[in-house]
Amino acid sequence: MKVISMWEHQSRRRVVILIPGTVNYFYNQTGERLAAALQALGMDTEVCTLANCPDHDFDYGFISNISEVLLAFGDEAAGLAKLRELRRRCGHVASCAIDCVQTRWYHRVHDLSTRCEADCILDLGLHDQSHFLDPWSRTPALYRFVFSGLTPEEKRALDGRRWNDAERSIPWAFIGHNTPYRVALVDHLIQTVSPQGFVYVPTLAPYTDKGSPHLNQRQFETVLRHTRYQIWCSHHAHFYMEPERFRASLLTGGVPIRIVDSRNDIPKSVPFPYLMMEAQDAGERLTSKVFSRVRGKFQNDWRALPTLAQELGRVLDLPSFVSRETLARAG
Amino acid sequence: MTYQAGVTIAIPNWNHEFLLPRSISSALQAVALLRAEGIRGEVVVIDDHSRDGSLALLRKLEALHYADGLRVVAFGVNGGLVASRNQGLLNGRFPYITFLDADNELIPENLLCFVRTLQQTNAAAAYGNLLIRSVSSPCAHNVISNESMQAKIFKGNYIDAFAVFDRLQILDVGGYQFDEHIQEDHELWMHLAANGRRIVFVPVVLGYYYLLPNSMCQVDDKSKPVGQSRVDRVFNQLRIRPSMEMNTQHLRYHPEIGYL
Repeated sequence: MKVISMWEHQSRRRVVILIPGTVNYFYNQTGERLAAALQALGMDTEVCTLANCPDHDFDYGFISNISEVLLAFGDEAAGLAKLRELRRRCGHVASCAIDCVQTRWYHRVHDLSTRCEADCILDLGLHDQSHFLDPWSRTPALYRFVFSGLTPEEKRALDGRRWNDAERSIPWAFIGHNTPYRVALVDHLIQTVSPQGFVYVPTLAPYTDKGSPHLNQRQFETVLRHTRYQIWCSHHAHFYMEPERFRASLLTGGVPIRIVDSRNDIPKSVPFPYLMMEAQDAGERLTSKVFSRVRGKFQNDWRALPTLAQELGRVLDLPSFVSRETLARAG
Repeated sequence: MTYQAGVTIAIPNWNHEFLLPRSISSALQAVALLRAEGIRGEVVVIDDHSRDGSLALLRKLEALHYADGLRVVAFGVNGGLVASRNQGLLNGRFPYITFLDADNELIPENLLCFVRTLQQTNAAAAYGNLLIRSVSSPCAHNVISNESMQAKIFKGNYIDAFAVFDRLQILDVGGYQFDEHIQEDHELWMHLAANGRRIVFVPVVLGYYYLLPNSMCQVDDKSKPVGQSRVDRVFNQLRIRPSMEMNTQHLRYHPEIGYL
């Protein structure tokens, strides 16, 4: 049976991308990025909330964090019913996640995605987490890793950019909601790297675009443009490479540094292993002298990786995404 | 008194003999770094009639470090924290003043960031993260003064007095005020916010806040329910304060970046 790539016929596929609208802004942002990548693949996209989702049919539906889409909708049961109804109007539905698969947040996405009959869960990340999945959830058709590469606009911005490091006077920045471990890490960085780091560690709250104690994307990028090293650690105990943080540093000319408990926690197959280190190594390694060299290597290594459009094209060609009608015609 | 540009680091002290060397040392280092940047500075310890060995120690330290900018003001009778801080406001020689409690510690390299923030914004106050350490822990485990000014200040205090102020603006609003039911630093923050003064959060660590057994934030505040009623009566009588946008709402500033 020959699987026909959907690129070989009808060029303008119709796609709907559901975003939360409220709650956390970065899932709205993820939706917009998906739209940009899918447009590069020749698709017509509509980005909307579940409440405003149009009534007509689509070839594909993407849900940018089903958990937050339903939270923003306000009624989980009604929201799931609406998603199942959308599923009937879409050729295929993908639930998108940016979470460590070992956390309760991902388990919830998995649970809700199953209940709304999504065809798969796209993990928009930097490393394949399939071997970290719980055995009960290791359903091959459901989990798909998609390297969260650059959109066309991001790629153009990166390729055309020359960095003015004279503005980059802040040695390091630590941004994220506070936990006891993070506060201890900040203390360590002050003592061993530089006391003059930018430290923004408010109490946990939704990351809204306005009115939140957290920084929005524009403010976050403004800080990173003035900073050499963006340093962070996860707020949970599992290994995970937060793609939004890596990409934000890439696009603002900085270097992301992920602090891990132990270098033994870093899987061998992940990209950018040199950007992950134990806290005790930070003082010696995060100097201004090596910054340009490390940044150069990081940017070159990223350019060698696929774009988001390329990755979506790869994933969407898989048999699980080919409609029964297409399969039947392919004979 | 000659008015010159610079910073006064005021350290109110009451029976913190064993902790004074740490706070004073950090303050003197900060003054030295400011002077290297062409900004004058002084450290003024206001001793509130201590009965331990504080005063004897202070006189010795003053003799040793007077040229470095250390002065001691000693009360003949105990006046309380409000009186000590107001005395710091009146005695300071320079436009900016930092209140550093005797049991806390400044990060000397970062004071300049706050001074520049006040210079650039003309705000009444600039505060930053304070990392909390306990006697038994080798590193910080919590943080306060870590968010910008928001309406929730009228529900509870989350900003310590350990901050940098425009001395004349604080004197202009009447300085610190004693209130039986509201802590003086909380009262001042609300007073400044309600009067339209700007209070800026600087995302930098200003210093360490040490939790000791008798630290004020560990003392069980039995007056709390009464305190909130008092706060509401003084600052929020019609309960509309949370819906009023303050002149100082969410002001976040870094001198290398500007407002965020």
